[in-house]
Amino acid sequence: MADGVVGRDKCGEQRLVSLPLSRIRVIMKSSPEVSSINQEALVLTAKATELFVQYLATYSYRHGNGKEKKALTYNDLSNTAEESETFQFLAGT
Amino acid sequence: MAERPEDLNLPNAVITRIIKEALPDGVNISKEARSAISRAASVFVLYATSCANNFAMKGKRKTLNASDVLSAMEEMEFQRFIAPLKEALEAYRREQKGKKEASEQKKKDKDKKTDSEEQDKSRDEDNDEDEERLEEEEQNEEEEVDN
Repeated sequence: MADGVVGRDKCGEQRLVSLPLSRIRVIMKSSPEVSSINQEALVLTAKATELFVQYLATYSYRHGNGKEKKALTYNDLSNTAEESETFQFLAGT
Repeated sequence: MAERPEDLNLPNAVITRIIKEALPDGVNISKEARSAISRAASVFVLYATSCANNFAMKGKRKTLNASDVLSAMEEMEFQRFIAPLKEALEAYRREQKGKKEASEQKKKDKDKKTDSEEQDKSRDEDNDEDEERLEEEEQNEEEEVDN
């Protein structure tokens, strides 16, 4: 079973999402109240997650101390989760 | 495939690539940081799904759709994602339309060409991949209907 919408395209077009849709779907379905998911919703959630990863990484890096050492560390991330309102839902994970 | 806790995580390789592309060149990412981001991403999916589901229920629908996800982003205060998501949605819809037309076109081409068998062989491989993908998508749609 293909586990991803990864760039198999031979025309050289960039794939819309790098994250595997099947995995995203598994996570979404682990929510008990969810009945079914339209394919577009799945694609958008995957894309949103990518954007989120990028945002979390860059935000933590910019605001963190690792910047001087040109590194992103766990501390940078936990600081972000605790201090930033946007990322507050991550605190404690 | 047995459902293990790891299956609720996203593949490390892809997460790492996304992070690297987002950060300036030469920045190192510790294993713990990457792992934390990966977990955060899973939490994000759950949070977004739950939010989107609320919108679906408000609309008395059982199936989550694209607009539910977009509304969820707004609700979660990730408005910055909405514009790129809308673009992605448009691109995806165009691609779906294009795929359908392309595979119909390929079938027409196949009928026309009787020479250059090598070219046809590689096109057949492409076709098989596309057909597999289409089948998968169809299966997915069927799953949703059953649910």
